[in-house]
Amino acid sequence: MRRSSWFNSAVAWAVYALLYAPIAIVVVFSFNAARAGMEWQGATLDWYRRLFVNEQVQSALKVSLIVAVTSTAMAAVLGTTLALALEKHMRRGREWVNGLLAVPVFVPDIVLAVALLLFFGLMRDWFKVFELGLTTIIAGHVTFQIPFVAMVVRARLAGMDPALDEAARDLGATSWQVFRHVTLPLLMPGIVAGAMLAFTLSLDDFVVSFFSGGPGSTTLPVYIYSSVKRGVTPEIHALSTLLMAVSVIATVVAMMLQRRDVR
Amino acid sequence: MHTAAQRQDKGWWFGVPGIGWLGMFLVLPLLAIFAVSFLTRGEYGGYGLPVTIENYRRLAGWGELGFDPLYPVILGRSLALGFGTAVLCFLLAVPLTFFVAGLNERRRLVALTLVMVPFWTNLLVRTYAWQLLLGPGSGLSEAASTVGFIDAGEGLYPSWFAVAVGMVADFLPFFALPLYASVEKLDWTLAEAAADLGANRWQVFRHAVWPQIRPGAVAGFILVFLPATGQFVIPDLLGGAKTALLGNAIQQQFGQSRDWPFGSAMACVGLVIMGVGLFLQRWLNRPKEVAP
Amino acid sequence: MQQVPEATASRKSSDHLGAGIEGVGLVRAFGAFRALDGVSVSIRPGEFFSILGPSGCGKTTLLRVIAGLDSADAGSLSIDGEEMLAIPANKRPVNTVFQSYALFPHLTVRDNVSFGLRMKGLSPGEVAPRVERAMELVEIGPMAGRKPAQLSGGQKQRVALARAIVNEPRVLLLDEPLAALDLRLRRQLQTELRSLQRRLGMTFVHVTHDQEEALAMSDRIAVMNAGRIVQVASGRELYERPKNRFVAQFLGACNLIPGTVTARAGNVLTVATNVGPLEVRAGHGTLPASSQVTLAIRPERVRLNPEVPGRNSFSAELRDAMFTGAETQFTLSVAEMALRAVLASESVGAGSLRPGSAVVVDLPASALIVLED
Repeated sequence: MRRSSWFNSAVAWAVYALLYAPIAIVVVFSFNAARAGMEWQGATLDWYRRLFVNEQVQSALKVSLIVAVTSTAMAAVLGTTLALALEKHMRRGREWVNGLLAVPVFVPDIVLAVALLLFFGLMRDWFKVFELGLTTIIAGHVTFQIPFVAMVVRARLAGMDPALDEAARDLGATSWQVFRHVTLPLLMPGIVAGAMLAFTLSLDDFVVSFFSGGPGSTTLPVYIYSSVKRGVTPEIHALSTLLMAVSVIATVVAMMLQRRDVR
Repeated sequence: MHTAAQRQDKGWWFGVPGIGWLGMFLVLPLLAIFAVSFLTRGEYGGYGLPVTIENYRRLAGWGELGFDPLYPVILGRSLALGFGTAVLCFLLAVPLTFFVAGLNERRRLVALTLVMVPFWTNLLVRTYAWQLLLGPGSGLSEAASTVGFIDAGEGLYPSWFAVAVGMVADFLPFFALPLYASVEKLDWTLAEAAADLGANRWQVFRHAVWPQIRPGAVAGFILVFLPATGQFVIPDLLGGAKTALLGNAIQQQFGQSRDWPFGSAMACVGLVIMGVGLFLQRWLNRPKEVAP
Repeated sequence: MQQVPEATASRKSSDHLGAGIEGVGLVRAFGAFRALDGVSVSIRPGEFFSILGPSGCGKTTLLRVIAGLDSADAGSLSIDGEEMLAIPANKRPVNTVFQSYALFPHLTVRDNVSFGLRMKGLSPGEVAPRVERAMELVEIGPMAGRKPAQLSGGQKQRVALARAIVNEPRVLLLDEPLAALDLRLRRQLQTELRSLQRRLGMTFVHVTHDQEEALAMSDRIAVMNAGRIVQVASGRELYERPKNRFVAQFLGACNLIPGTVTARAGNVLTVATNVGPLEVRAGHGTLPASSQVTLAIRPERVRLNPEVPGRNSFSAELRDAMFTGAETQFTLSVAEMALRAVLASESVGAGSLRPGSAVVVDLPASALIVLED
């Protein structure tokens, strides 16, 4: 057992190849002039150009963005307040809430998706609310986003010196002033990082969107899924490349924010 | 006595919106599928009375025409897929995390980030890319037929092999990150001491290294095993029609078959697997009592 | 640190800026553990008051109860006669210097110092000059634009101090303010804190586990143990007249000799001990004959081979001599008991006090203390 051996590095490089081969092929083919097949026929930006005139793509993009922005904003508020309550104020019941937060993380997507589908159906029958569409997709996304936001914010809260709150109160700040001038500014990088994470989760979700969506609320991943089922076109490569770029940028920004020191 | 320190505890109200949301959109829906799993399929889809355990009997193999192993097999296959994926991820993640932990600080950050980035790219995109990479006529398929792994002209996709590749590529980061957290903290002096005392490489790993990385490995295993068991997009896109699994069986019951009570029963089985997995993780990683 | 600017000094020159604190029967329990087990304490206006004790004795809890950061389960607390327990921390006329400093990491030094005044809603015009003065007072003016992460430990300490005193609190609470600093810096800041307190006239309540620090800085010291205050007195009195074993041993080294009172003549007690009868000056308490007592004597008050043997002289074996610079420490053995003695190295003749030799030990009656337990 040594820290570095040729075996470990060989496996590591193989793993990186496994992780990046699919990404690379999609990116490369998004610039390939060939309509089909694996052959390289010169570079082109045609597929990207076509994306911008494809009405289905435009509408799926719009739906995805509306869903991601709305659900992220809601999850950021709900996750942050929950993290604050758990980390600072709750004495009893904390274990229960921790368990509740673990469920969306570990439950298979499909189980959450059909459970929501069934629940929305009941609500529709009994109370005439939750017609499948944007609202239901957003509700589903917020549900699986909350634990991730709460997790990131809690990590930041846990790293904060509890004496900071006390110092602020000692200096005459009211509860609201403590929150406004000390807690919130210090938490902000964590909240933004959590929100970025939630945003990419929403943008990438397929299963919940597929089951909770209705006609006219097709998100990008759902559109890609149906396209893949029909046969991939180079436009899908281009669309996928853009989607990945957005997710990667959001994630890298989130990580940089998380690394900013609490102290 | 009414004192300052007691007053601030009213802050638990902060948790109410979040808990309320999860109660409404997580707990109620899960209770709903639990309830519906004991109902009977309606004439035109949907569900109704009578209350029955028929759905669970069907899942366990009691068919209308005697024993029918279809669903037990599907369940077993899903568990095997989850388990196999977790084992493969473990076998790859150990050398990977050791490699990363051995790098200098700057490279380590880069290497870790590189493990995380694909995790945030779209699963569907990565999965269909494997269709391209493993499909008939691709370089990899041709190489495989040259060494006789498959017949000429065939592709590595669709197949169980393709599913395994897709699953491992998707789930590896979930295993690598918690494992890395343990590997990074490894006390190498223990391994050196063991080697110094005459342990061979396997003994060093088994007695000096494994106990230290076990919590990370358990966390990674559960984090892969649970979602992998219910995964249906990857088998759906890479496995072809022949590989029925818990995930796509549920999808089918809620889709084409429109047998919601039966689909709910399957989803409940998925929940039970999750519960058992989480319990196992807590039990395996429980804080050890320190010997006096 | 600089002279106090005119405005602050003159305004309060007539009477104390500081407030008196009166705590009665304060109790604070955490589950079965009683951090404060009936603490009564009276702190005078404008004094430098230290609370000294080992870790876990409840001293920080007492400070936090005074600050309002922790509640009391029973008892009462008043500052300048006004009942405080029901008043939240942000409305109490006290400010705290925290052990970890608790500087706001997202704010500059200037914004940290002005925090309290801004929270009270003072206008920027009122805030700015007071902040500048406070920063000058502790000599951190040049750091005004920096973030706490860019400061050294000593500088952080000064910022924490400025952030508290800028609010002109009636009482300043200091929770182990110097614990995180190295020895030399600690000594320097002790002096500065002391003179700052004298000039500002605020009441300083200072918590520490460092007895030397408490002795050096305080007007009076409360020694705490296991949630109770054991003794309150000036440093000199605590050292010379400790009430019980705990105080005697916590402040400096001490020889303890158990014995039984055999006679009393005027204010002189005769106590039978293993080393023979010792004469002691009786304290205020009345000790009947045959009561069990413990006598204490500081090592530096033990005399070796005195020119004129006193009444409390006996012979002992010198076991060990250890030269530690200015002083030499001796371990003596008599009647199965070990006694420690410390002499100025200068006064120890070369060769006269060697391990193994027999010596005459004298315990002067004026140096022997009768302890309560």
